[in-house]
Amino acid sequence: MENDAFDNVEKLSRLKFSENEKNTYQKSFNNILQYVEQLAEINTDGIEPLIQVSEIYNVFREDLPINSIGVDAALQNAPTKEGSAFKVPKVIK
Amino acid sequence: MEFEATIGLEVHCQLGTNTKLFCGCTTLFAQEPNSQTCPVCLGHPGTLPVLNKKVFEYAVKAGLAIGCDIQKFSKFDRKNYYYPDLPKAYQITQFDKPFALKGGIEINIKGNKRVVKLERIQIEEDAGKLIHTADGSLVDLNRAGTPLIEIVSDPDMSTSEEAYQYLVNLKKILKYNEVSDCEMQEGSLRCDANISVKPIGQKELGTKVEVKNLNSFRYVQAAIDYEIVRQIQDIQNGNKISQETRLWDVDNGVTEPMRSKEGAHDYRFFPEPDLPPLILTDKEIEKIKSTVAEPPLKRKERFISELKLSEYDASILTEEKPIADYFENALKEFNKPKEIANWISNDISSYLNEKKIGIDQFPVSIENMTSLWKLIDDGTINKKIAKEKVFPLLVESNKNPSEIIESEGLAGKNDSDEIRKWVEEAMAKNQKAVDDLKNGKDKAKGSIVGMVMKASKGLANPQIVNKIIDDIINS
Ligand SMILES: [Zn+2]
Repeated sequence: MENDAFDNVEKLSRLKFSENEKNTYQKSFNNILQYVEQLAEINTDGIEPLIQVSEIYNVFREDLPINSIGVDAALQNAPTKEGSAFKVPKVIK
Repeated sequence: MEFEATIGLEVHCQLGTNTKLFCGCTTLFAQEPNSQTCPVCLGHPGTLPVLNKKVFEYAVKAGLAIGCDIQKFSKFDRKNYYYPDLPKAYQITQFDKPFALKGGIEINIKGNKRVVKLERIQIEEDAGKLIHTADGSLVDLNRAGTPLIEIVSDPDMSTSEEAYQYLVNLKKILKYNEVSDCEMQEGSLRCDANISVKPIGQKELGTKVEVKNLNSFRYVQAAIDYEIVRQIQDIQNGNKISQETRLWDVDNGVTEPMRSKEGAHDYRFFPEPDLPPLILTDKEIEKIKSTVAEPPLKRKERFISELKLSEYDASILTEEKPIADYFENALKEFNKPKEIANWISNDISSYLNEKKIGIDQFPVSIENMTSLWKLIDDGTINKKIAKEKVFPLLVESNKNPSEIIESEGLAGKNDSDEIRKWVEEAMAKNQKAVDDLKNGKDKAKGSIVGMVMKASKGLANPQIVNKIIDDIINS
């Protein structure tokens, strides 16, 4: 994996690596990718992509309300809250 | 250089289910923030989404109503991005195997009918709501997981008027089929517009700009008009159009680039492993198809061609399905389409507007409403009295109109001798009108008719009054 691609993954994952960490993780990352890339050696012509392994289809529930857990429980793990809402750092400049 | 615009629309429509897409939380509007949530829609780890059956039925019904090819195989995917209104950090949507492809919406620009083509419809979950304050953003996840269909048109429109009609007709179809209330105020229907311009005749499309925050169809129209002019001017000034998302600024009537910390689009779609794919049989599709409503435009055309109604009347009657249904049910009892159309578009509509209710809450039964019309038709009561005196009592009580007429003494006076007496009295008091009439000034008749109506408390049959006046003058 090139530096640019690695930087992009870092950004998309909202992670921040030091230069040292970056070297380590980039190496591990490449090892994983190379391992998985072995699959590309297999000829898959005419084989449909695998979407799921369970062979189960059409799992539904009826449109019936189930009690919600309530505001207190919903906000229980929130690091910050205001009123009945979660509070996060400002997302609009 | 002359330019032409290319417009595509993405419409998000909330399906009218009681509960969310993948959990049993309700979809009620305007509740205390985060009161309609559970571990599934809060995105807690280890929870499992289960598809609401009604969502799939409504979605397929909408797809059929829009003329789409319903896919016998479809599946869900994860669209990954970080934003605080999306608690799982991915949205469950349909990427490469949506449940509906193609289809179209008919529009009619100055008599030119054509179909605006659709690309696809997909089922997806809504995000939560963010409220931005001075020192942070507040997150309300009541909306998170609300079932939506996203209806994606082809870039198949070139004017804002086409886009407006597309939206009006699409909304009508969705409402006719009762899959959504389409309340834009409550966010049940939302629209994004993709707009680009290119020199006329050029095959390759220009760089497209996405405009969001369009809370009404009129804003969509205004934003498209604004963008077309802005983009053409930019190109003529030698600038390049940048591919960006812009927001419609209602107050200033302009679009502005959206400034948010949302990263570049790199959604890394992959199949949703927690939701098994969906398979539909021909039989199931046929079953849903049998519930699809007659298309509003077809119904309108039928009213014009079969019932000989004017374009205007037919438009009013087919604006909403309950009104069209009321009309057709009434027609079974009283076969005078034009008369019914007049009553619905005047008296009944005014009442409904005043009470701010729909025709489904109109208190007068079809049986009583049509018997009143029959009583007018056979001369038992004057139309004017029916409208001014009986109708207000009818909406109050939904009593049999014959009873109201009886108890209020409102039956029309058809007795020629009685009416002749009133006419003669009126003429005696108004010699000038009589002279004018004899001199061929027909307008003078009005004042005599008026006096007779007053004397008879409005009950004299106007046709007989007119006839007797003519008889006397011409004798
Ligand atoms: Zn929930």
